[in-house]
Amino acid sequence: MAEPIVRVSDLTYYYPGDTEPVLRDVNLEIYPGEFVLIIGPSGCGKSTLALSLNGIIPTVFGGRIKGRVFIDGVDTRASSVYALGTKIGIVFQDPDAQLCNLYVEDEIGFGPANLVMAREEVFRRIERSLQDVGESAIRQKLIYEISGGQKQRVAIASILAMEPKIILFDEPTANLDPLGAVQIFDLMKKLNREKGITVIVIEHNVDSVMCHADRLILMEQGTIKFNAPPRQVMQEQGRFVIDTLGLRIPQVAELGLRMEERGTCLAPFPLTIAEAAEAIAARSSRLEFLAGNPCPAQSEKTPPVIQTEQLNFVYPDGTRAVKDVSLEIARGDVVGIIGKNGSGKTTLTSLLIGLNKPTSGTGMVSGLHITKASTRELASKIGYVFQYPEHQFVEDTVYKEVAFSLKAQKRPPDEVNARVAQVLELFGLEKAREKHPYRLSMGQKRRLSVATMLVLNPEVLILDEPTTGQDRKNIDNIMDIMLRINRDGTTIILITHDMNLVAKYCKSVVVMDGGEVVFHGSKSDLCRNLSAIRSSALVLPEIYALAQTLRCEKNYAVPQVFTVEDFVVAVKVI
Amino acid sequence: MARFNYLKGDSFFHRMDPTWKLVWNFVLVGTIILNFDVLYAGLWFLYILLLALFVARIPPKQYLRSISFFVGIALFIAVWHSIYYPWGGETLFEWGPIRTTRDGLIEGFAAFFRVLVIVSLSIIFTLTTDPGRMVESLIQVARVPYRLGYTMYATLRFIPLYENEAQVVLNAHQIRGVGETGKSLRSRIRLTWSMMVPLLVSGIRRAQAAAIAMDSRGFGAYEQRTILRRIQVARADQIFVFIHVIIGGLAFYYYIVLGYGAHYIG
Repeated sequence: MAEPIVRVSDLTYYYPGDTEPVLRDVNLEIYPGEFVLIIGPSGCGKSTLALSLNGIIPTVFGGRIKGRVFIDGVDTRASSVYALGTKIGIVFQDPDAQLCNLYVEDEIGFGPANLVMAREEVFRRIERSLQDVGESAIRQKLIYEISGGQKQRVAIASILAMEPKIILFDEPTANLDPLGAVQIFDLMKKLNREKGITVIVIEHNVDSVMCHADRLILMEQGTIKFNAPPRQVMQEQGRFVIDTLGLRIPQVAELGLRMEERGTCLAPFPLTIAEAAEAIAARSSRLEFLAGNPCPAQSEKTPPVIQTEQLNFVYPDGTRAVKDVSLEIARGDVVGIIGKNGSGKTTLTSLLIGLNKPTSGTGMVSGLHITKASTRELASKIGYVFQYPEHQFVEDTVYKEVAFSLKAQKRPPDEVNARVAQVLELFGLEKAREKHPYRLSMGQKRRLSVATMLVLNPEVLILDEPTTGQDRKNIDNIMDIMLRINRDGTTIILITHDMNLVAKYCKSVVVMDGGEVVFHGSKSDLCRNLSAIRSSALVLPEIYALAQTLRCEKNYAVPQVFTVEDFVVAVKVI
Repeated sequence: MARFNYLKGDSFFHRMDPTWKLVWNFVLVGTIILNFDVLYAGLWFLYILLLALFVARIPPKQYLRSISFFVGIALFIAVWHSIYYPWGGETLFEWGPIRTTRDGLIEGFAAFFRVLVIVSLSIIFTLTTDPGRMVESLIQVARVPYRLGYTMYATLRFIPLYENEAQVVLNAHQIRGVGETGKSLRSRIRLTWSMMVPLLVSGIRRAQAAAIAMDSRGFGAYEQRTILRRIQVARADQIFVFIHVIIGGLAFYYYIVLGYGAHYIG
């Protein structure tokens, strides 16, 4: 076998001032042309490992380091960061932070120009890199004019221009819509296959990428726990990954595990929809599908809690962000609002809570006119949880944070105390009550941000991208609380890209595109008519697509399913 | 809204090299602050106003919006000058300790025009200069080290992001009911601080992420970097600046060296 292109031996690293290492005795070898996926819970040291591969750690960060990292035979500690830049490039999560030029062309030429290459060479590389990522048309554009997916492709092109042998992607799709994410994963595969670039990917959102990987590395608490082909890790350790580590695995892999527990091994263990369909077909003699729809029937009509008529909103710069939206949301519903970035989802909800006043049209939110009521009045009826919890924090302890709104409403101290204690318990934050909100873990911050809204007993709770940067465990935790308060009558609105979240929890779905509502109905109608709905950002949940494939291509009587649980319930092993 | 943002357009000033435009600005500011004659300042103001409206083609409305705030300041300075004019002259108005003389009033007008000239120059500069091009020109024409130039560049690139984020935080805090707990100065300072914290935290995070991304692509590896778009300074830009240097020099000679119109300096 060839020499490894990445060799990490006994790597232990402490950030400056830390007494606990982030990485402990990490040993890793990656070979030229491999596609490697790295997963692990937040804080397990994945990103630190990434930065130690291109020499940023320890050259720029300092800190204490033991062990060695060799990239293409070169010791990272004996080399400079820029020399390593021609061997390994990193694409980061936030496209806005990693692009530092005003024009696309300058951004891609940035690295080669830093290395003082001849102008003609720089231009040649700009042209070729843009071609490789399929974005030749935007060469002369300004960075802030292009979409999130395009920004991420420009970031990849800017790395390609350095002509590295290895590209490392550190959660490259966290800010993208589902289709944007799939496109980035396909691009990775293409670069890997056609150009022979070694690809290393760190991801939370593994559904569409695990099938591309030759190897899966699972990290926990600074060590490598498993290092094997993904199929093997999923089959042998899938339960541990889901239950103990609280990570996401592809839905079809989860199905494979569940079927195995019920005594039917799907072989080979599925990682893609096609594989799962084949494996199920191969076992069909022992399987029987129960007819009927396992998802609960649409409940009877309830009076709307939100009602809008012909809402329009135009930003001062002339952008029509919301167009003629007439929408009714039933009391007690769990609604998912989906659509690609910039389709008007957030602007629409900002109208409901009075942060913006509609340019024309009217609306009612639990008896208040959105055109007449103030944000304060509306906020007493609707809670709004922002995408980044830190944006909403105003106090210096968890307790004060939750009590803040109650105190602002001049509630008596006894009531405040009792209510805060109750909410802290509901969210499992009692032990953290004297902590500073910024010092909480990602999951705790998310729970606290929801708690600060829930303490006021709102009739409607809006959550803006609640799953961003969260592990599966944290998502499940928050959503369980949401379902509980929903049973008590609170209407929940989820603004999200996460189709699995929509499939699992939502009762109805609103799809927005270009400021208009292009679909409003049940999620089964959504999935059935997906191709007819005008929105380019949606991707079917894997498990739904699997059931559809089995129905259409194999003629099995598989009912419509939205979750792995639904599927398992619908199939009977003989 | 935007008083001083770059306005896309095509004019002599839009095409002019930013570094030379900056030099032109400084030459005229120098010429105007060295002189206290009212006619001199008035003529310059008229000339710059014509340049702004007809050469730089700044829409009159935009020009008024940009300058309105400074007209107030200029008036204030003018009144101040005319009241505290120490050299006597014919008294025009007297009320208690306040006395305005004819010479003082003229002096006040001169100060008024001087302020407006300086502000108008800045308006021409900011409204006709693409910030990105300015940084490129500073690096190539003014030979500012590129590392320093890129610091400015990054700032320009991140300003819209910060504005956006500040709006989100403001909204988030509005929903929380911030600003209703108290109107005392102390609670206001605390609330402003509570808004600053998330912005600072994310600002530092973003700056660090940007620095890592730039380092990873070899930023700062060498003293020089390849220049992708070579800037050619047009002959017309240089001639334009030299003409003003000559006018400024003559004015300096006439007023300061020969001493006309600067009776109280010498």
